Amino acid sequence: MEQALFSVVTDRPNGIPSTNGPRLGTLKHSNSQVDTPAFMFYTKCGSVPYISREVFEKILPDDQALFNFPLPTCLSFYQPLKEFNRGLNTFVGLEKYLSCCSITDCVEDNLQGYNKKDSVAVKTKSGNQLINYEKYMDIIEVFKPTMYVTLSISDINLDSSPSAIEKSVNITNRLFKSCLERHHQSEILKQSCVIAPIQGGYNVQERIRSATFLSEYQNDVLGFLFDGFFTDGSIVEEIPSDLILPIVNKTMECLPYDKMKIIFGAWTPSLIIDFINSGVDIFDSSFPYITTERNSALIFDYSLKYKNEIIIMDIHHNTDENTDSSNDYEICLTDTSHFEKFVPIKDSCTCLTCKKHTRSYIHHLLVSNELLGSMLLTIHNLHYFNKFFKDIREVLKKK
Amino acid sequence: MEKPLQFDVIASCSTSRARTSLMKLPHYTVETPVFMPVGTKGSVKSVLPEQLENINCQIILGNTYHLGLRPGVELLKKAKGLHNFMGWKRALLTDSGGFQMVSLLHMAEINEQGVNFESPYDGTRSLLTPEKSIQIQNAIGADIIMQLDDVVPTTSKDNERMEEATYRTTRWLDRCLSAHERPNEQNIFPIVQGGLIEHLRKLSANLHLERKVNGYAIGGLSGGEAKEDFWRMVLLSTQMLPCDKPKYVMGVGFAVDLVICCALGADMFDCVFPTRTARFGCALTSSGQISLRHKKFRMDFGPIEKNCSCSTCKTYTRAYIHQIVTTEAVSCNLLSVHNLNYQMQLMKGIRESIKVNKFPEFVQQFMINMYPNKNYPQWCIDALQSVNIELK
Repeated sequence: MEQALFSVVTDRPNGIPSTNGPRLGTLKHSNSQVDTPAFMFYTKCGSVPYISREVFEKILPDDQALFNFPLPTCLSFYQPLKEFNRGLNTFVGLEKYLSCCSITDCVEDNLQGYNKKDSVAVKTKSGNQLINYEKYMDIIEVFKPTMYVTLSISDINLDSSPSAIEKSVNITNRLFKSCLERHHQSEILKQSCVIAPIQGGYNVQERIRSATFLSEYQNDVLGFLFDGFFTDGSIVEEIPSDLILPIVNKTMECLPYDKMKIIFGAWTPSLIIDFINSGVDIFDSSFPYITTERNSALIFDYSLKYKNEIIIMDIHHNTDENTDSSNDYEICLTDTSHFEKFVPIKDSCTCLTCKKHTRSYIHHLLVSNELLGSMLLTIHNLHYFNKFFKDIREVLKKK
Repeated sequence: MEKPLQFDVIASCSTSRARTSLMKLPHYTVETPVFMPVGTKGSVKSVLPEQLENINCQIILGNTYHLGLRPGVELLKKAKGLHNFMGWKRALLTDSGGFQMVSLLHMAEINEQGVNFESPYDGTRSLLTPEKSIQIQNAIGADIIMQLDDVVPTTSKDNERMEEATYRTTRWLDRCLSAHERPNEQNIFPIVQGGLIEHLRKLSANLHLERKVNGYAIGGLSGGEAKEDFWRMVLLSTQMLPCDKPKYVMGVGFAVDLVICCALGADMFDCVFPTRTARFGCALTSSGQISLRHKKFRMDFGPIEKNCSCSTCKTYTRAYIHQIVTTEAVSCNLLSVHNLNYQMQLMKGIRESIKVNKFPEFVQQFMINMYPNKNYPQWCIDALQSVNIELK
């Protein structure tokens, strides 16, 4: 089997060397294909939270999908997988899909400052573990993912000091080289692809330094990850777009056009559009997951259009939703206003939850602490998020 | 007018008292013997209705006590019943609420009027009368509803109290029947009481036989009594009750108990066991229950049960479930689906074997799988012997 291949489908803008622009792409691996812009399904311990394979197929009956497996949630699989020998995908029941292994859990509060020299601290259920690149590559050889992010120091946030940022770039670059060297020596990893993690916090110069260094290895990698923007995944929505967007835009200019660009985290749909306009191809489903965790359902009405070489999204404010939700994107189903609402979460939605169940029932399940409530919300939120990305691709196809 | 329950016995075992039937209810025609998963608060915990249909679950149970408190009768009326509220198209059965009150609440007091209890939500005291129980169950709208009965702990030694409860249960049955507002859509089952006292059970059954009903429940068992007493009381009750009506033994869910109760002539069962044990990380197999928390499954790359038809066994290994059991919510779904499928397949095996008159052979094989060393519990040997099935 060959390695996965990413290609940009959209024509390169005529005569403009800039890579900053929305584009369509495809990620292909043997019989699987994922069209970009797309998102990876966030998993915990190998499963989409609350969702078995059987239920997942009700969300995406025939679609191809890409799953992200954050290391902290599946590090304990290493020993059994060594013996199992058929890779992480098969072990967690998702063998027909594409997979990506990453270092941090983008919805949790991750460790900060526990890394030692070139070893990265990983917070697991059974305590913290220090992972050096050798150990990491041992794990990756056993997990056999379609792609993986090389080991990196990414415990950087808005408050990190310049020296911490500099250090994260230095060590991440070093780890990247070590991992890559080992990757080339490995027979097993011939089918896996490397994702290079760009560090540099909110410092443009450091970002450029990181991106420039990693770009030298562009022929060795499938894509690049914009990493190290937050340590606590639950507050990503609060990061101001004017702080992060210029960084992403500037960094993008230093990266090769035809490589895949990834960013993880629960960014708002509006910021996701901004990132796509900057040239980002792949996200993850942290946002719908976090929405489910606060007992909320995505309901935002939007219209997308392509104008002046960018996607423009208008969000229609729901006047009939008198909720005090934290944002325009969702309604909170534990709110007592839904007690008697015998209507679906969203009239126009075609997900299993909306076709069969009412807000009133879901409200009842959630306030009664019935797991089925979170299952039904997940089905809706992932369907809605998936539809959002489909619509984005449609707009780019029609442009 | 057609009754809301048509019961047709399709085949009977020529050796034991087992039979298989079609029970036509307003929402679904149920094949018996049947196991009914429990959906306490309007959902079978962690399982989608579609998944229940996939494993051929035909009837589920809701708890009147829980549903009456939340979401409450008024809402269920507005939702046009529990079927509609929870998106379940097949058959439903509700209990009366009495058992939960007595078992869950310390403060419940029973008098002739009803059960006086304290709300766990706001501490106010209310009275659940037979009329009130039926009123709630009429609002919920299940195909089969239960009379409010006077519940005495099975193991109680107070014979006088047991006798009072037996008579009172019949008095309450009459109040339930006259309070019933939807007799063309819902069936009230009386509950045969009498604890472990033979003459009281006979008395209770005889009193209830005089009432016009479409099926019967056998209550006051599965409460920690000796198995020796349990099976004798089940047999006594099924013998007293008419052949042309369904007989429901309440609170039975262990595989061995189900097989033996079928042999004794029972048709319907319910229990939280398969789904509750799933949440504790246990899986049901033909050789008994296994706890997937145990570290011996860490490197076990087989399914929970070989040749199992459920979606969990087709996709996942014991080793993976071991990794996520009791920590990831999805493990509840995986194990509940497997365990409920196990129960459904067990009941299907019973039904199919009765149809071809091979039920005794089915029982023998089942018991050998469960007890490979043939160290059968004495009560199983005795119970099966009473209906002419010898364990080899």
